[in-house]
Amino acid sequence: MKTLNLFITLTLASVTLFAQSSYKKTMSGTIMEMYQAEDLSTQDQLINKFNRIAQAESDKWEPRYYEALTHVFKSMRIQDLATKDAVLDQAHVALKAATAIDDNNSEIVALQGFVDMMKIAVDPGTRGQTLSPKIMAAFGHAMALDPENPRATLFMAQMQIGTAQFFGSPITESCSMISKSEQLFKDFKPKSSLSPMWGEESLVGYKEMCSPENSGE
Amino acid sequence: MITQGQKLKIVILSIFSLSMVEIAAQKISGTIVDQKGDSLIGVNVYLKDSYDGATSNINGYFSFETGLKGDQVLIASLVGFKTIEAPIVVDKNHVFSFILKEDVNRLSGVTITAGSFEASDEKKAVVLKPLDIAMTAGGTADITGALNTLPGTTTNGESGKLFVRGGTAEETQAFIDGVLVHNFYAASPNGIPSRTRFSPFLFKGTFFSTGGYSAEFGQALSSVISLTSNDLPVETRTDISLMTVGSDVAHTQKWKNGSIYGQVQHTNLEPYNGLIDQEYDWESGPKSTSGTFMLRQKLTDQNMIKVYANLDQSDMILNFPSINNPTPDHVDLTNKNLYLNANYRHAIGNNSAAYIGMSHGETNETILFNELSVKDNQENNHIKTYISTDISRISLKAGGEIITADHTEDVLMSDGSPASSSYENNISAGFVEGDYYITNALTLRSGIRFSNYSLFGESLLSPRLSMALRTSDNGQVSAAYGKFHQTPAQNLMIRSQQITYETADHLMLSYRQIFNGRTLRTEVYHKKYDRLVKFDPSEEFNPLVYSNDGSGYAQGFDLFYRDSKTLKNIDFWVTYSYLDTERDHRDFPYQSVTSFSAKHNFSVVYNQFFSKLKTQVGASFRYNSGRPFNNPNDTEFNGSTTRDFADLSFNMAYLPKQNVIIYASATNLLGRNNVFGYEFEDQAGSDNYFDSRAIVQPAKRFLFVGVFITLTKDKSKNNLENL
Repeated sequence: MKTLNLFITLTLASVTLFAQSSYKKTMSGTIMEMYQAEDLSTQDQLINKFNRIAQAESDKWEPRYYEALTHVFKSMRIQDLATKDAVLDQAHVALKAATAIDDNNSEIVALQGFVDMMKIAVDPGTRGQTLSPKIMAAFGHAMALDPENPRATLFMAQMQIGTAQFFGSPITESCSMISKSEQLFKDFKPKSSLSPMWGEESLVGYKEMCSPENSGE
Repeated sequence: MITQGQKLKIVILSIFSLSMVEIAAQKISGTIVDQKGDSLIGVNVYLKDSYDGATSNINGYFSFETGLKGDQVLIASLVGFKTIEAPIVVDKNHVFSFILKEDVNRLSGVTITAGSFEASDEKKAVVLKPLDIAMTAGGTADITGALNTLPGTTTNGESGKLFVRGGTAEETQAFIDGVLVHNFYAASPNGIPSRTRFSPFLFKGTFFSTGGYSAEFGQALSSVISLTSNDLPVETRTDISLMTVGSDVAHTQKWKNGSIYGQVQHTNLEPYNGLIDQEYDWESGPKSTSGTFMLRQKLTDQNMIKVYANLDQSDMILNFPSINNPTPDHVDLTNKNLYLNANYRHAIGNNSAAYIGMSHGETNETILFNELSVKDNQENNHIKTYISTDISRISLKAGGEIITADHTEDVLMSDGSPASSSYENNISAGFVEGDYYITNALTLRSGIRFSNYSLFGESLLSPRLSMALRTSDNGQVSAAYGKFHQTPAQNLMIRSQQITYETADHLMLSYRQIFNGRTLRTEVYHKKYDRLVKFDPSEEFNPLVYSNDGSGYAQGFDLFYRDSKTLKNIDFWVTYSYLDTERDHRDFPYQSVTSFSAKHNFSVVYNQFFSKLKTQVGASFRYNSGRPFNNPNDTEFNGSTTRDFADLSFNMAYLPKQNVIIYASATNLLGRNNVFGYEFEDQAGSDNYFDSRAIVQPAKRFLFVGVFITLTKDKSKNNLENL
């Protein structure tokens, strides 16, 4: 009898594990596809897929996060400003749903700031002034929620460098932040196999900007 | 009894059957089109609560496999379309074809824009941005200064107030967060332009309507300015402003779901008036001291309480030249003003909201005019509540309000005899308005407003009707019609209580096109005024000579073009308004043109940002054809016309550091001597000729320099938004 109970328990556990791993397996595969997607229609398919997973797994923030992230990557391929803006608005919708599931998540807050940073680019003249403080606050909040989040630190540094360049002030301080985020990327230990892993590639340009011959030191 | 072995079998079987489901997959496929039969790409088709689904391709074709069996719900969804949910039984391969219907609602429908200009960051397809209001050259960071560059307005330089489409200044009503502002303009004696009491930086949205506005707004015969105050600030900060006219300090303290704001401002134009040559002899001031307090508290994510309070005292003493006296008139004015505004919005579900707002205004003004003393006390209240809801294609708003006014004037004549008059006017009103989104290209709005005037013992219904039709991707036609009424101006009400409300009918048709950073807007309108107050000027202080026998009309067209694309880093707008108006009101002997309206009104506003210099430079040019004035030497009433008005103004904002702004502006660069009208002798001279004195600008130019510093805890934070 004891063996049977153990067997049933193990079986049930494996069934649960199977469901769990099915979520992780599907998500990992879809996330991989997303990083490699190279056209709008593939991105649209992935957005829909993340959306389906999100609806089936209503207590998980990751599908909403990646749905938003795919919208962000999609917006980078779009030239028309009004369309770009509408896609970024869709990213905000997905992030709002993610926040409703987990409202203290450094990655979600950082991506919200990142989406707004992209929205500035649509209409820098007017949005720059109103959105900048909001974005700074978002990145600051994301850094406070998880000091180890390399993306939050990187985005904050990017924002500061942009401002410093505008005012012609030195970027030394922001560069130390770039180095810090580089270190954070190196030390980054994903909390799960679904943890966001992107952003490191944009370090290259900033590291160049911060190299001694360019930073004017 | 089931043996252990049997139990084991059942478990093994059930595990086996679980994997069987995985194997026996069914194919679900089909095509999706819209109502016109065109293929829809990007539709998400899936089984509810499962990962199983697909995205339709360019031919509207989708196909996916599922291991699920039995009763399922198949969903097809695409942004902008109504989602389809179809219960199906999965037992074999299925082929479906769907027709998705376009979603028609408040968000997707076309917005009615007849008569209105809106500045907002949040709404789409607006003509202005909040910053435009503050940064318009010649506007000197004053809300009405900026709105005076929009079509439908005539610049009255001696007043500084808004005159819209042939209406007087009192016919424009201002609202903050839905409730009335009781004294929109700061105190100033006749002939000295006044500014609005409210900083443009406190508002995230400005809605300016030149006619045909919603049934929600009453007590406005010609125009409505509706301001939406800022929501929660982003951070705790301190702002210090040092200006040639004074200084102010403001502090914002923020916590998780709320904030408070306190500001103390002191302005004194005395040193400035001493330096720059003035037309009038200023003995003291104008100076003012004011304190502002604001509270923002979120109760939940959707529900927020907003409170605004402002207390202000201004004083000025000046000697005003007069054609009737060899010595100038001595004017000593003191004005104390309190304004409170509180409102709360409560979301009910996803599609409805309830709102309650109140405002309270108290003004005490004392004017000493030579030997005469006039004390004016006003107390005004407004309480308003409404419920709004979106039900599919219909948006409804219904509410009620109470407006009370208590006004007393105590006069002490030069011979020492007192005279006093007062009135109390309570208005209760209710309104219902519905927007019907017939298609995404056609919206219809109809509303009705019921008002009861306690003082006049009269009630009336006023209908409002408007529509918008999208004619192309970028273009839309709007039309509006409405009946409007308003209590006569305070200075008339205090003279006589036998008068009643004045009315106006608006009818307008407009076309607007927004294409790639360019906006073109044209509008043609006709307004009919009735029941305007008239009196016999020879017996101005006799209440019995007042009646509502007056009438009038205004008609014309507006042109507006804004372009921020054609020239790099340059944004400009050009407006022209043609205005044909006549009235028989107040002291007019018969219907004639009015002194506050010009036939041709033209303005250009230009802004350019020089990123290398970190400087924004702006210029504006305003032109009005001459305004009529009454010349007693002429037989025709209001038969003469002043010279044309022209003003070229300039401003610039320089950002040396991210938390410092240096701002400078100058009006009337050309130094033109603008004349707004003439004051004539009360009695003709011995030659039977009335001599006159031109009413001109208080000073040829107004120069302003200010330094604005923002301090935050984290110095890395950038705070350009304050200017």
